[in-house]
Amino acid sequence: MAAPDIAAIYERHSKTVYRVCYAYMKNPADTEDAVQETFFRLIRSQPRLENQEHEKAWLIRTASNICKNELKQKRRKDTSLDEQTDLAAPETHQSSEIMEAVTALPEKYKTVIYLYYYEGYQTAEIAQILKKPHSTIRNHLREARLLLKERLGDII
Amino acid sequence: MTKTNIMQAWDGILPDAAADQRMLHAILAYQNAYQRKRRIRQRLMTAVPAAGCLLLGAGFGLHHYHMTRPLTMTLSSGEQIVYRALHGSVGDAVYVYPEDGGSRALTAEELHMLLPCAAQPDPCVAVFHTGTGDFIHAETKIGDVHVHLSKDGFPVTDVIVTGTQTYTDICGVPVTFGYFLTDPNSRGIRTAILYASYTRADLQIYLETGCKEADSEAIGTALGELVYEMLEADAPDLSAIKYQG
Repeated sequence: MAAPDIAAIYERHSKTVYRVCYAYMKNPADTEDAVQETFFRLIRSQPRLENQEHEKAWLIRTASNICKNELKQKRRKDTSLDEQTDLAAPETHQSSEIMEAVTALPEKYKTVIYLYYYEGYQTAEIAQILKKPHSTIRNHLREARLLLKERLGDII
Repeated sequence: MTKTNIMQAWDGILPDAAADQRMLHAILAYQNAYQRKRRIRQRLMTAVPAAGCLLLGAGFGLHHYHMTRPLTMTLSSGEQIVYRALHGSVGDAVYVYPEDGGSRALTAEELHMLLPCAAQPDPCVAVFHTGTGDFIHAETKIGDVHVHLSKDGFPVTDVIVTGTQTYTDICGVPVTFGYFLTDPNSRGIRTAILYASYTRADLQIYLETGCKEADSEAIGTALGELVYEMLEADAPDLSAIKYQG
């Protein structure tokens, strides 16, 4: 039987998924794992995706959920590793001050900022993609902007 | 807040080429392993009731003949094609994508060269060997027909027919036509899956479509016409399609 053309889906959306995951994971190695897990979940769940926008929305939502879960688990494990201060810092992308400020935002703001500023979605569309109330998205965006302004001041 | 500043900041966040290939390779490998596992589970689920049915014995013969009779069709060119019913077992293709496998979208010209027919195939992404630049595999659709293309020697699809196969000669190329029927749905309607496969100039092509059992003659003829149209045209030149990393 014909399977979904995963290579084509990857080609279309891997960069978006990678950026969403990076905002949470903050290093390429963990981001890579999260991207793979997102596509693995697509293969396993075979959702009925009506068009490429729907496909993209599904991947963004799934990627951010995977990252949040992964970070939650990591935090649990890390409490027992707190004393191991000699661990090497993970490699990161050469990023700007703005990027560092974005990745330092609380988790709930990251995807919203990415979708609004980079992907150019309206808040109503973001609400649909993330399946959250419109008012919540508007609040998240406003709070994230304040935090970024606080941190970056004149840069932006 | 300056939108441009934020956009520029995100622009640099990309996987390097090696990471990109590593992820794609892992995802394709996972898909193949997952499909294999799923088919085994499905076979086990059908094997148990099937064994029970065999015990019933009586009345099976006629039903079996109905399900497995060959479908003979005549194309507009006058060629006669025969779809054999799938029997024997369904095996697993083992996809081994090279470590340095890469992908890119095929152009409309490349697609037309691979699938020379009047209908426009859907845009698709092909997998290549980045070392040699050789084409490996692609999947697309022409209307309702799923098309799998593979370099000779690489599994063309994840379904392998291991039963007795016969060939129909079309324009000097041996083509395997086959079909199988699904179990009836809740309304008693069965779906026929019809397929055709052939190899030409190092390129294996597998075409598959599905329809209600009652429509299998019309759809089977249309599939045969599509195959005939492609075999009438020049053979594809795989060396003209290379990976450009």
